[in-house]
Amino acid sequence: MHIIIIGAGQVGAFLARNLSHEHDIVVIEKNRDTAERLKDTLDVLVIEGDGDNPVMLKEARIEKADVMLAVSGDDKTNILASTFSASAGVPKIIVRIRDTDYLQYPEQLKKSEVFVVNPGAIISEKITSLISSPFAWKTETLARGKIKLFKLKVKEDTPIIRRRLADLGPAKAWIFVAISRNGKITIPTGETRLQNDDYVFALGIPDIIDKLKEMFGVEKEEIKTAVIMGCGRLGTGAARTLSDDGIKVKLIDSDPVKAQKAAEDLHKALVFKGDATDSETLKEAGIESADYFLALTGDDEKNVLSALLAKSLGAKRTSVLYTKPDYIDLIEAIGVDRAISVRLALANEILSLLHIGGVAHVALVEEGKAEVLEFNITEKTKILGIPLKDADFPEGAIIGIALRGDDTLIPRGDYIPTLNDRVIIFTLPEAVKKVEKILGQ
Amino acid sequence: MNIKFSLHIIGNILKFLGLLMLVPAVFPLIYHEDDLWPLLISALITSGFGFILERITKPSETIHEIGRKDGFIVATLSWLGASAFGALPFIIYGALTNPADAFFESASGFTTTGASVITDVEALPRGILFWRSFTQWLGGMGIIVLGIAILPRLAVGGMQLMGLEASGPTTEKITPRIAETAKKLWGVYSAISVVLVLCLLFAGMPLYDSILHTFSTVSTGGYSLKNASIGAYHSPVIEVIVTVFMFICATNFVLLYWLMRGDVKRLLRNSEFKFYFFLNLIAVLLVALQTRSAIFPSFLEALRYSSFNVISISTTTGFATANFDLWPPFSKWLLLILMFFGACAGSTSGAIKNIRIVVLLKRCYQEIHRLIYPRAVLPVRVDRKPVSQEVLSSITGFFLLYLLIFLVASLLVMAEENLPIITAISACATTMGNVGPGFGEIGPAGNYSNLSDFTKVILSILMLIGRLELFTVLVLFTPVFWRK
Repeated sequence: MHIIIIGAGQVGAFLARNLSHEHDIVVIEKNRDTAERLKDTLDVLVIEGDGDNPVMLKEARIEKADVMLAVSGDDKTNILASTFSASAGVPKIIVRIRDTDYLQYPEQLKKSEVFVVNPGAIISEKITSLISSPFAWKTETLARGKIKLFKLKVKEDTPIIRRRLADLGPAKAWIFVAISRNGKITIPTGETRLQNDDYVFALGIPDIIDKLKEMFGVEKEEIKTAVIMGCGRLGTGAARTLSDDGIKVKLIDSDPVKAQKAAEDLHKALVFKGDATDSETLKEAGIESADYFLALTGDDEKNVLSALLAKSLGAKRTSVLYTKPDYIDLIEAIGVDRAISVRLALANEILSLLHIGGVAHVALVEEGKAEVLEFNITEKTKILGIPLKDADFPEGAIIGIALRGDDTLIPRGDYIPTLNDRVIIFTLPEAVKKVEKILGQ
Repeated sequence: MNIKFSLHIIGNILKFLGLLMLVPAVFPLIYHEDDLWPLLISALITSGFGFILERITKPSETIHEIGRKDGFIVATLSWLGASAFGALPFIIYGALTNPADAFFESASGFTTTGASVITDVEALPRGILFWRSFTQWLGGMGIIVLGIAILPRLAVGGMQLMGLEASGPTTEKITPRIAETAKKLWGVYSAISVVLVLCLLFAGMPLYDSILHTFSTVSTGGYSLKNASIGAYHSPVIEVIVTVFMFICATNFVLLYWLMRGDVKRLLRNSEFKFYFFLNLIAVLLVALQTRSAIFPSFLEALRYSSFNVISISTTTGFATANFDLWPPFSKWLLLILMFFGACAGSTSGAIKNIRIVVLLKRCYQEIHRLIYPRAVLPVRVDRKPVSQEVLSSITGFFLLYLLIFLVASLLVMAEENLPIITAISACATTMGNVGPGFGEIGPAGNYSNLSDFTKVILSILMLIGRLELFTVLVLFTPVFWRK
C-alpha cells in the first residue's frame, strides 16, 4: 500500500518505521535535519517541505495513496492536508488534532473516510483505565472494549509464583499470552513457571480483573484522591475525566497563566501554582495522602523527578508521561509505577484504525517488542474451517482469544476458525509476516 | 562498526558474481572454443570464496542494519573484490599472465574505464571477450545497485550505500522503497540495452558484436572486440547510433526514467542536462571546425569524426573512430578538459560530472556578484532550488580533492615512467575519469601494456577511486574512521 505520512516527529517517525516493512511510505517533513536523518535510517521516501503544500502532496503521489496519516504537531497543517487528501480521493485519512475546538465544526472532518485522533482523549482514556485497575502495569483495550490486555508484575509474594501455568486451572475467557523476563518477551507454554520480577501479559474479557487480582494476591484498592502536575491540554483533560468519576483532583502548574486558566475551566478541581519538583508545593497539594500522582507535562525529565519526589513524600502510586522511547525501561526501573507514552498511545490508536487486508495492528507492546493483531475470519481467510493444529501456526505467535458472537473462546489445537470469528493474536515482530500469511486473505 | 557483517554482504555479492561468470560460458559451448574450463573454474573459485566468506561471517542475529561506517567498507571492498575476482578468467585462460595486467583489465572493465593492456583483442575467444564487456555492463549501473535490487537485506542502509556508488553529489529515490528504485534503474538500463542491440543489428553489425558493443556503450565503458574499436566497421550509421546512445546513457537515469514515463519536462528543464547538451554541441563544433582544415577534407567528414570522438570522450566512454592523438593541440587540450568534466550525475559516466561544474561556475559568479553587492544575500540556485551550504562545500571539496589526487598521481606516474608530460597527465586523467584512451603511447591507436606494474596498479586504483567518487575510498584511509 502507498501511505503518506505528514510530519516525521515522534509519532510520524514511529509509524513510518513500523509500517515501512510492509508498505510503501512517503514522509513529508519540513525540518531539513529531521528529514535527512529519516532518509538515512529508514527505507522510505522523504520529501522535505510543508505537508499542507499541494506541490509536495503531488510529489508524494497523493492521487495514488491508499492512506493519508496527517500526524504532524500542527493541527492546521494536518487539517489542510486531510482536506486536500479527501478531494484527491484518498480512501482512508487519519488526522491528528490536538485542539478539540476544531471538532466544533465537524462538517470538514465528518466524512466517511476521515478519522480524527485526539491525543488528549486517548491519554485521558489511558489514565482512566490505569486508575481503574491500579495494580496492572499496563492496560490496552481491544476489540472495541470487549477484550483487555493487562501487564502484571510477579513478585516474591505473588501466590502463583513458581507454579506451572498448566496447573492454574482451566482458563475461561483469559490467557497468559506472554512473559517478559529481563527485557525479553517470550510466549509461554503450559510448562512455563513464573519467576520473581517477571512481567506477565494477560488477555481476556474486562471482568478477568477480579480473577487476576485473586491470582496476584492484590487487595481491593480504590483511588480517591489524585494530584496532577501540568495544566496543559492533557493535564486538564485528565483532571476533568477523573473528577467526573468522583475522584478528588488537585492540579499543579508552575506557569501562573496556565494555572489561572485551568482554575477557571475546572470547577471541581483545585489548582495550585508552583513547581511540582518542589516539596512544599506538593505538600500543600496534599501529596502525603494522595492515592495517585500523575506527571503530565511535556518535559520527560521533570515528570520523572517530580514523580519520584511525590512517591518519597507519600503518594501511593505515580504515573508519568514520557516521549523519549529510550526511557521506557528506565522509568519503571527507578520506581515510577507507570509510564505512559503519548507517542505509543497515539501510534496504537492509528494502527488499529488502519485495518489493512482484514488485519488490524491494534497495539504495540513494549515499544514494539511485541504486537497485538486482530483478524476477522472471512470467506477469503485461508484457514477457514481448518483446525488450528493443522494450520502450521508459526512459533513466536499465539491466538489469545477468539470472539464468536458474544462468546469468548480460548483457542486450543482443536479450534476451528469459523466465519465471522474475530481472533486476537499476540505476536513477536519476526512472526508477524507468517501470521498474516496464514490468516490474511 | 561491524566488519563481520560487511564481509558477510561482500561474500553474498561475490557468490552472485561467480554465478554471473557462467553467462559467458555458453559461448565456448556454441562455438567450440577452448575457454570453457577457465570460465567455469573462475566461477567456482569466486562463488566458492563468496560462499565460505558468507558462512564464516554469518551474523548471529537475524535483523541487521548496515551502519554508516560499514557502508564505506562494503562499497570499497565489493568493488575491489569484483575487480580482483573478475580478473580470474584472464589469468586462468592465459590471456594475461601478469596479475597486475589482469587486475588492470578487470578494474578497467568494472569501473567502465575501458583502458586495455591487451595488444590483440581479436585473438581472444568469444567467452573471455564477452566477460570483458559484460564486466562493463555490470559496473555501469553498479554492482551495489544490482545487489540492492536483488538482496532484500541491503534495503535498510541501502540509501547510503547507493549514494556511495551512484555518481553525483546527491542521490534521488524514485520510489519509496530503495529496492524498487534499484530495480527500476536496472529496468531502464536493460531496456536501453535491448533497443541498442536491435539498432546495431539493423545497422548491419553481427549479433555477437552488437551485444558486446551494447554492453560497453550503455555503460559508457569503451571496450571493443576490434583492435580498431568502432572504427573497424567503417559505417557512418553505426557511428551515429553509438554516438546517440553514448549521449543518452551519460544523462541522469532518473530523468530517463521519467522520460520513459512520458515526462519530457523534467529532462528539458534540468540545468545539468542543458549544460551537458550545449557543452557537447560547442565542443563538437569547435573540434570539427579546427580539424577540417588540418586533417579532414570536408566539414561533413570532420563533423562525423569530431562528433563521435568528442562525445565518446566527454561521456567517458572511450571508443575511437579516429586517432585523435594526431589532432592539433587545441582539440587535444579540449578533449583533456572534457575528460575532467565527464557527463551527468546519476548516469553511467565518470569524472567530476557536469552538475558539479555548473554549481562551481555559479559559485564563482556569486563571488563576483558579492563584490558589487557586499550585503546581498545570494543563494546558489540549481533548477530554481537553492543549493544547501553542505552540498556546496561538499562539491567544492570534491573538486579540490579530485585535482589534488590527479596531481599526486601524475607525479607518481612521471617518477616511474619516462613518458612525455601529456601522456602521463592524460593517463591519470583518463583512468580517474573512467574514460579509457589518453594521448601518445596510450592513445586510441596504442594501449597500456608497456607500462610498468607499479604504474598499472596506480592507474587501477585511480579507476576505483574515480568510480566510487573519491570520498568513499579515501575515508577508509583516515585514522578517524578506524577510531572506536
